[in-house]
Amino acid sequence: MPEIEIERIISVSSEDQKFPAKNLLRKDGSKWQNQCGKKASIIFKLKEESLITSIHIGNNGSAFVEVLVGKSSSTEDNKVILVASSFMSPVESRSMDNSHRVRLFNTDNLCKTVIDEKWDKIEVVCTQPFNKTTPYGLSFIKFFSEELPVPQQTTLGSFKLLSDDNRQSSFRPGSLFAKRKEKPLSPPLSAAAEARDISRHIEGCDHQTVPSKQERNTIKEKTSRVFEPKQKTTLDQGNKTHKTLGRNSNKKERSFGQLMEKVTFVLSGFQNPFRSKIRQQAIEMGATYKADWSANCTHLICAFKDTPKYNSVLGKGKIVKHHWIEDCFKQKKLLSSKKYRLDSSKSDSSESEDDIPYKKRKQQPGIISRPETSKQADKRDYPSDFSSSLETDQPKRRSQTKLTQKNDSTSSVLKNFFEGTIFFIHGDFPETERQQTERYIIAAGGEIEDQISRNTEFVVTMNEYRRNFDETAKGNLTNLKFIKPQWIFECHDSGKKVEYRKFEVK
Amino acid sequence: MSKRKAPTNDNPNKDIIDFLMELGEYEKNVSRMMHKYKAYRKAASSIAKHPTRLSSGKEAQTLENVGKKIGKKVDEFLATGQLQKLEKIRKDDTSQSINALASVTGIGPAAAQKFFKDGITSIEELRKNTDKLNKQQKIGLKYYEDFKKRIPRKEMIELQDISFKVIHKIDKEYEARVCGSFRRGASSSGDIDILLTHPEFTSTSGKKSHLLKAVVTQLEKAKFITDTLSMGDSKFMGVCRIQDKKDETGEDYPFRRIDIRLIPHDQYYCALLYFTGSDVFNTNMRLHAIENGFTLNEYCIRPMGSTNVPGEALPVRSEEDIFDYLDMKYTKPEDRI
Repeated sequence: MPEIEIERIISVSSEDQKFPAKNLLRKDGSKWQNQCGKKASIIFKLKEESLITSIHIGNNGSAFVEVLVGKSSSTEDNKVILVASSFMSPVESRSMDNSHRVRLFNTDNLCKTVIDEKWDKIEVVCTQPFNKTTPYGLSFIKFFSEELPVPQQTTLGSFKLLSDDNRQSSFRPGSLFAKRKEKPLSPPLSAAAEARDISRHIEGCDHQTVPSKQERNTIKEKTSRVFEPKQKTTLDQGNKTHKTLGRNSNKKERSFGQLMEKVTFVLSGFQNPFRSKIRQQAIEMGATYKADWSANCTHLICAFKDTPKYNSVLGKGKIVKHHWIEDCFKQKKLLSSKKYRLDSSKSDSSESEDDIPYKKRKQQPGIISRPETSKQADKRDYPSDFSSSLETDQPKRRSQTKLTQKNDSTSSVLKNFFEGTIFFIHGDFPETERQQTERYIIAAGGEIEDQISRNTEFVVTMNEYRRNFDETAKGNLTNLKFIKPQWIFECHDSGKKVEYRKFEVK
Repeated sequence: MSKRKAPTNDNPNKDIIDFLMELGEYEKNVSRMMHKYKAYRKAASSIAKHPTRLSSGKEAQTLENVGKKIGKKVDEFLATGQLQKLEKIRKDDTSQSINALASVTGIGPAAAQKFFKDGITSIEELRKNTDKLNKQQKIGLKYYEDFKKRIPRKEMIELQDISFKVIHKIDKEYEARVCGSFRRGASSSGDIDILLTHPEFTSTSGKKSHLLKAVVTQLEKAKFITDTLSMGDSKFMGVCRIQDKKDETGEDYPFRRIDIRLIPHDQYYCALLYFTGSDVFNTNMRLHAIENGFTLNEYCIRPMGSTNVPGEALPVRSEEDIFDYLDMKYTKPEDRI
């Protein structure tokens, strides 16, 4: 029974500095502990989507441990694979006796409905309701996969054709970044080119079966599905670059009273005077209030789930907590409502959540619609528009695709070029930009801190140089560098820590 | 829950509690509003805990589970000594008949309404129409007078001793406990409710109906159990009586309703807690469990997961364990009001 390899920790709710979560990735018995009084949950990313048939858990003071699984390719809620299981009784918890019990769970203990599927995201939730004064966590956790018949997978050259049951294409580690890199070289194939490419591969490959016309069509479908993530990233990246460029002007023009002018909201579950306070704040930021939900409403500000309005809006619009309004009001900027969602991530994908800031940019001419010339002048920063690239000549691209495949295999391994480097992200960022930056830093082994500390090396900021930068730098260490996020992207593209001076904020 | 709830005795607010309970019975049997019935019961239970005589509806409203409407009724009752609504109900033949019919074991509110529609309006008429009754209802009617009598604690102890002697003669490993109001120290009970377990029977062992069958058979042989209302794999409902003795007045002992439940060994204490009640205490304890991130029922206590999926059943070796999980001070059965 092979152990499933954990690629990395996506997030952890809290960790003791002496017992960080990454200890669990080491095999030397070092432990993870939360900070007292905070939640204790970890999300792991597995190296690949795997069947999980057995879980071994070594406790470190938790009363209950629950394990949930998910897929990074899907926005669905995580599903419970191991229900909250008891590791310590109340009496043991209070005296912290037997705090390192080990329990092994196999298919009989795991949720039957979930073990037949492959997963690559694992959330472990530890709780300790019986002792509120001692930190707790895990000493180890291992996942095992039974050897199972290899799912029928047809390979065509270096393409993998996914069988229908696992068609939700799995992201391999680093593939996202690898794809980002290959983009300028290889615009996605048109459907026709793909089909031709595939049939050519089929003829030359080991599988001697030449598919019938019908089969070929299905192959085409599948292949295009495999390509989907790449296309998305192309667009994403395009957008991002524009954000970077358009940001400063954009920011200044949006006054406080217009922050929420695209927002039409409905309130549910609040009582006066609090109700009127939220309403007032939102209206001051330019939002429109409606008593009842209608087609042109964008947000339901809701106090708790299952109010009549909540149920009627569910699936139709965004349902967010009142903190969204308050935080926007306090920080004087339009925050993404994503973090404030009340409905669990069912209906909305992350993209639609970005709608508002996105539309805003659209209104500013010249920001989103970049001039035609620059597109050609600098293909690297402005990867060609997906739709237009389809029309250009195809034979050339086919050769590029092959090149890309090679690239893919070499660059899909993550390089830890930021290892040991500590970052601090400062100032205003559009939500997606911030996420992307954080992801890139973490992926390369860098760490992001909530505050500037003695160890902070780089401050990533979009702001222009300001005097207080200097003060900050003096107050801390002299080697504190202020850099633009573009540096992070550049490092990623090159797969190494490139010279940062060019990107320093002057 | 049982049809034979103990009447309140030496309570300073006895009359108030009684009228609330009467209103509750009406809502349950006649208008079939279970939630109103529960509201009255809860209010009555809160008032029962109040140590002094209530002086006004406003004072009543300071108690838990007593709202505006019940407060008003208390006011009206205190001012006039009676309640319009209750007087109306008492005068109403329909509700009187249905209430009477529903007091027979085996006849619930639904059956009572059905009989009433068929023109049966009293116990006497029911006796004339035994062909319309099923087996349980016939037994209920046969012992109607006896079942209405409350069982004094002294007799309960005798019933307990007789049955336990028989049970332990079969197998010493049996564990049995009389629950319900008796365990809460009540001076009288409506029926006798025995929880039975055996280490051989656990939630994973599969059905062990022979364990229950053996007990029932032996109790029948000892002429303790006289009738069977229903017999399943894990629950027996029937009638019992102390046979070979006369009571203090020289009369035969009345026939009594008896339930015997066979509980898996690992679920015994959750069941014991549940069947000891009171039902209001259980409701409150379950609510408390939910607030503390657990879910409690008559079978087990489980921690609640992050997505509200209940976790595995927690090991419970005593009632105290359950209170401990919920961070509650152990409440003795006598205090579980």
